Amino acid sequence: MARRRARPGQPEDVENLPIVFDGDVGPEALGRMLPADTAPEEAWPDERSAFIAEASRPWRPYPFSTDLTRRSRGLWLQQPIFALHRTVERRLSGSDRRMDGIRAAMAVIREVAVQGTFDDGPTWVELVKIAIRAVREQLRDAPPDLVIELAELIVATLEARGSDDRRFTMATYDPASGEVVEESFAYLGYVRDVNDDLRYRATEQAIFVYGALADHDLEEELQGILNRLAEEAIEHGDIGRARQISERQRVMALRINNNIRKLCIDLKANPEAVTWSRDIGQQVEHARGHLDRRVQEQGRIRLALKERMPETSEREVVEEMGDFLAVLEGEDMGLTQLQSTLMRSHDTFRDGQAGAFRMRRRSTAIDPMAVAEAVLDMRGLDLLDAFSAILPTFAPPEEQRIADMDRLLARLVDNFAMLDRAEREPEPIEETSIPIDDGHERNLALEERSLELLKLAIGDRETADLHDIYGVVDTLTDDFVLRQAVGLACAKGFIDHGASLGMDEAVAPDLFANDVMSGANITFRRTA
Amino acid sequence: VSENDDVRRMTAVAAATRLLDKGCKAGSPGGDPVYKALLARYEGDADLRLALAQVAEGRDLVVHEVSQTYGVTVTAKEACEWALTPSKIDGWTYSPEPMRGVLGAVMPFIAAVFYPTSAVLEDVTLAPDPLTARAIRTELLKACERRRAAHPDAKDDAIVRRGEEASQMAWEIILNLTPKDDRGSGAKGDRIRIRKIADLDDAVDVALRLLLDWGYLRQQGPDRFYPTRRFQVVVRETLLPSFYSAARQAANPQA
Repeated sequence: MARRRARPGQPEDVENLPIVFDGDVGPEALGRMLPADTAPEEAWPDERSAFIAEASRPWRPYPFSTDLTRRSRGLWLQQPIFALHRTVERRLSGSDRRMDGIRAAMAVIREVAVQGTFDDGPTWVELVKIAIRAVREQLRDAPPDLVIELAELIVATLEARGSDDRRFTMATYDPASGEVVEESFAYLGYVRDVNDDLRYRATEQAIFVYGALADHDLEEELQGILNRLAEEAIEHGDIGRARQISERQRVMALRINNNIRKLCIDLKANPEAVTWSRDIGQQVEHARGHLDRRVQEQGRIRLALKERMPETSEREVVEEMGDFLAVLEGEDMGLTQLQSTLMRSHDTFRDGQAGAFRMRRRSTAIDPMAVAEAVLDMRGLDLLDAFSAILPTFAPPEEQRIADMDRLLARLVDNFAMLDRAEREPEPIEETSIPIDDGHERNLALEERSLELLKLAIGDRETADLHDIYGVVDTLTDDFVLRQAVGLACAKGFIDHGASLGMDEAVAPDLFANDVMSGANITFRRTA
Repeated sequence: VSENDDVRRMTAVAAATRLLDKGCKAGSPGGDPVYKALLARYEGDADLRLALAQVAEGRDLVVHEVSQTYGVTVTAKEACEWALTPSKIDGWTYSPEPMRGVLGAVMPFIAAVFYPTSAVLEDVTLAPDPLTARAIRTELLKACERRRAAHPDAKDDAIVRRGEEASQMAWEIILNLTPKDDRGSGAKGDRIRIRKIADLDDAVDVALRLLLDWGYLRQQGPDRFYPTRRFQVVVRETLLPSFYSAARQAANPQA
């Protein structure tokens, strides 16, 4: 998966930018990236383990890592875990047992992280027990001494015992000093509690590695757990504890939120990086999903608090709840803000991309004037057909019924005006006789009926527009002919009150507020 | 504030439908607080985005752009129930067929006068100068003369019998139209409706009026017109590609 970064001011040249980082992470690539003295001594195992096969595939980026240094840092961080897996395989090579060392280590990290999220975290003995469970999960019938040996091996690797091990140091380039700095790390850290016992915690590196290797975001999962804990605490009326958990959750979320902010900046800074499109989209979706979930979780806690509030009579507790609620609401607002920042940045990014595409399209796009002149070369009939087909696709859809009724009325008024003119300037009538048939009577009945409807529709109103009139008419009839007749009656009323030649003259004072041509509604006012 | 609350309380589908209806009307969101609130919600609400796409699909509409400033630019697909049919254009029914064709040639030409090159068309920062109807007509006649020059084998001032206009090219029809007295601006502001497209002025008038109605043009002073952002989007996304493929199809019917 190649990623290219556009440089500011060179948007058109995105295709030719150098490839900054080739994300292939196979054994060879890994060997290439390591300094000679830390390169794996033995050959990588063939695809004996599905997990290794998975790890050898082009690596899926950590959900938020648009930062390439962070990705390469991830490779260093995974080294000891891979080494652990190889050691486990060597240990079991004589027997027919197989164990996935990476999976076991991940299970331990997860368990420690979950336990350490709120409580003090496991002691050393508990840690070994966790490791034993992780081994047993895969080697159900193994003898106890083997299980304990493997468990201790896992624990030793995770807490980086014998920290002179070069695998636990990581060379990072410090741009400030321009030097390569060596940092050491461990997957598990510990603190001493009041009883002077060691209490273990998963480090940030462990959580990062977990995200990369287990293809799963541990931090988000931990947040879910904390959220449930907070809800439970509220249920039990322990508001202080709930607040404390929520605090912890927020601290944890801060890191993810910072990554989202970073993503926003990346999106805004690299809008022309066309080739990023696909994996950026995925990351934005992920970030958005995370924020959505967080907003929902916040909502649930708030709801739980509100439900709880009336049950409590002690004043301090209620006050504490109110404070807590205010904090939660503040955070909710922050999350919503972050969400919309993310959307906006993504929009900027997509606009930039569209711009870049357009810029490329421009070289091949045909000029509008050339198109217009080509259209002039079309034959009349072809053009007519084409225009009839194209018109609907570039005109906005019609404003529906009301607009149609306005148009109908305008047409009727026009026809009446024409009739009016014809009456005053009689033209020689051609020899055509109009047979009087039964339809004539029917039409009269229709006219009466429509007038009745119109009266009903106008009722006691002082003013009515077509919307009002048809609103009533529609409830009384669904006969289309009758509806038209009502329109005709409206128009006739219009004509009777002074409409004659053109619409400009048709506006009888105090009768109509008329704005037919602009498509606005005609308002009828009751006359004396 | 109350509009904001109302809009926030709506379901995504309700908000999408409302937003689409607002977009179908010609106006920009300027004076409409509900429209503004809907657009603001659209910016931050993934559900609303999805719902808008779905509602538009269901109603056979195409949403080209949703912008805080310019609102929703939407056009209909051919299959849409509310698609504008030519018969609803003023004067269409009584106009002879060749003149209807002329109207079809005038529409893309107006677009081309405002956006002559694709670079101008793509430039969102550029606002074309207002033009009068007369200027547009003059440009059109010039373009027709250019077409005549490009077809040296065409007969000069051919007298075309009635009924044969339809087989002529659009530029021929336009050049053969008997010129009328110059009526000043060319925009017949004093006339309420055009009953029938009888000459080039009518065609330009009807086209300009339609574009005004659709919110694609705005009027400045009595007789000057300038395009809106909506027009730019529509020209780029549908009008130009459609006419281009129609012209290409007409030029090479076998292809």
